[in-house]
Amino acid sequence: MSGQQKMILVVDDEPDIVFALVTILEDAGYHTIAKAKADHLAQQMHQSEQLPDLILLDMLLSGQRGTEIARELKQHPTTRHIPILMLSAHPNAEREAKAAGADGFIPKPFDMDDLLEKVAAFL
Amino acid sequence: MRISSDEYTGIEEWHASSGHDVQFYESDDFLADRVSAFIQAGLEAGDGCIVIATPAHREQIERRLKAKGTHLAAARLRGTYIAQDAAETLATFMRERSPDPRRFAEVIGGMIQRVAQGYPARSVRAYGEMVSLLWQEGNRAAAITLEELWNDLHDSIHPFSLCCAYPMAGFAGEEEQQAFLAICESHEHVMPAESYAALATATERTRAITLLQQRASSLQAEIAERKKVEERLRQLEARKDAFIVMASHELKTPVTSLKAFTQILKRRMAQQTDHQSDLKTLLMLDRMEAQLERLIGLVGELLDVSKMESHILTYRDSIFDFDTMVRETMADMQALSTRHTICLEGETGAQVYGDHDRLAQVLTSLLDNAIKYSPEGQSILVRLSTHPEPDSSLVEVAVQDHGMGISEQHQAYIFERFYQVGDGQGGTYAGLGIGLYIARQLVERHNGRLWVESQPGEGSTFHVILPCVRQDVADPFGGSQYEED
Repeated sequence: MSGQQKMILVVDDEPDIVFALVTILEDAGYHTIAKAKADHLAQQMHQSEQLPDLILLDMLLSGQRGTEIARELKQHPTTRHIPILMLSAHPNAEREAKAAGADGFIPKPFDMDDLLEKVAAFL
Repeated sequence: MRISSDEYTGIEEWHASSGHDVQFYESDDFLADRVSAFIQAGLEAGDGCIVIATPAHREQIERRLKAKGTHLAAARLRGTYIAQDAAETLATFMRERSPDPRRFAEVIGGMIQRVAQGYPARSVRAYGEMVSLLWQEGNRAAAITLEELWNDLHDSIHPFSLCCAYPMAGFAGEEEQQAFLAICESHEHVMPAESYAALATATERTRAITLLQQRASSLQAEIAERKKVEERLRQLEARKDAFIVMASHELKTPVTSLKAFTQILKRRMAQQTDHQSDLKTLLMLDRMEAQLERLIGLVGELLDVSKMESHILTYRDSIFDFDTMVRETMADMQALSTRHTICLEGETGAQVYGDHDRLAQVLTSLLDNAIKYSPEGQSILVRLSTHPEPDSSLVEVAVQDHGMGISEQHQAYIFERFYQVGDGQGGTYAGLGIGLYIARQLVERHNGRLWVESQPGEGSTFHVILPCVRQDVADPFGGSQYEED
């Protein structure tokens, strides 16, 4: 992917899953930033000059919950436009993710091609 | 054992002049003996007598009266004996589901005055089963109201003695205790059933009461103990379900990274080389991915069962093309087996309203079974057909294999949780034994049916019938929301 490389923020507290997600996305030509914790993420992003083009956000993070972060990001004018795809292995998570304002949901375990397809749909 | 009426020496007679008695009974014979003795004594004493009973009981009572030499026809002619059907009499004064006091007083009061024939001194005896009928219908409130209306009638018109009777079996269960007390409270005299009435002497009766007290006390202790155990089981069941949900989530976390790494490796290997040794590595990665999918499937099945038990399984209903769903599922399953050929016969052209993925899961499960239990390979036939019914339309998909088949003994259990059919040599086939249980639950949730026809050694056919959307009905679901968690 040349020219403007899209940036994806990956937030998951499971290092191996972050590693896998980052590898899949970078192999596909995206630029990634990874975070294991997301406490105060919304505040940090509201003040940041460089915002990601998409966020892959795990739902059950240690510390602040993914749904809470999604809600904060979607309420703020500077971050409201950033698509959020939530990931979770929890059986009833999709409805909760949508209620929190997520634009899409990826159930764990995910399929690599499905993941890339869903990401591409927003970029 | 039938106790003849002469043996009821241990129980007092029903009260002849006035009062409101209740007789509990275990057998109709005992009741008929008691009522016929009560009426016979009344007719012999020149009293007016009323029997309001079911046809079967009236017949039993009158047979006994005639056997004892009572001239019922003459008493009827004289107007001192009235026999009425309980249900018909009840219908004359019931309004909605409750007895109307004014109509009751007119109907029953009138009947009492008729047999009294204007003689203030004439005693009247009445036996009634209307309260018992209401009780047996489950209309407890109306039965108790009617008992009270009988009591009110006592105070307002010609004096009479009344006996009602209830089968003791109608009060089985702890929840009936309060109602039983209310019935006893509304009567002046309570007569026990025949197992007590057969006791002849005071010693026998006090012994029986002592034994009953002990039995009641031990039953109460047993009930308390069982409630404790039930509560403990409920807690364990809830804890088990919570554990399965938590464990499935925990299992999915390592599986997620394993699956992702496997797919990354496969893609990178495929892009970088075409050496023979690397092709073997690619093949192994393929197998790893297939095994991971199996593991994911097993975790999913465990979760489904747990959610079904807790009634929290989520459904996403929509109208979809049934044949397309079947064809897509068949293609997915065909990709997993090179030893089996899955063939399609027929079509329905129908649309079905329901959860597409869950119904595809049912077919996947049936095809998976057909593959698993046909170890020799062979073909698997999927047959589609429609069943037009007068009130609805049904679609059927049948999955037929030519494998080992299922004996009749197993057929009764294969849709139960954790039941597995062995290979006949002490081993079992892979799986948790919950696929068919889940499939049947899913089909039944869609108002359908799932069953099997099978002969050992000749294969099995699993049939699924589901209602489909009728083309001639504009809104097949009457505009109702059909969404469920």
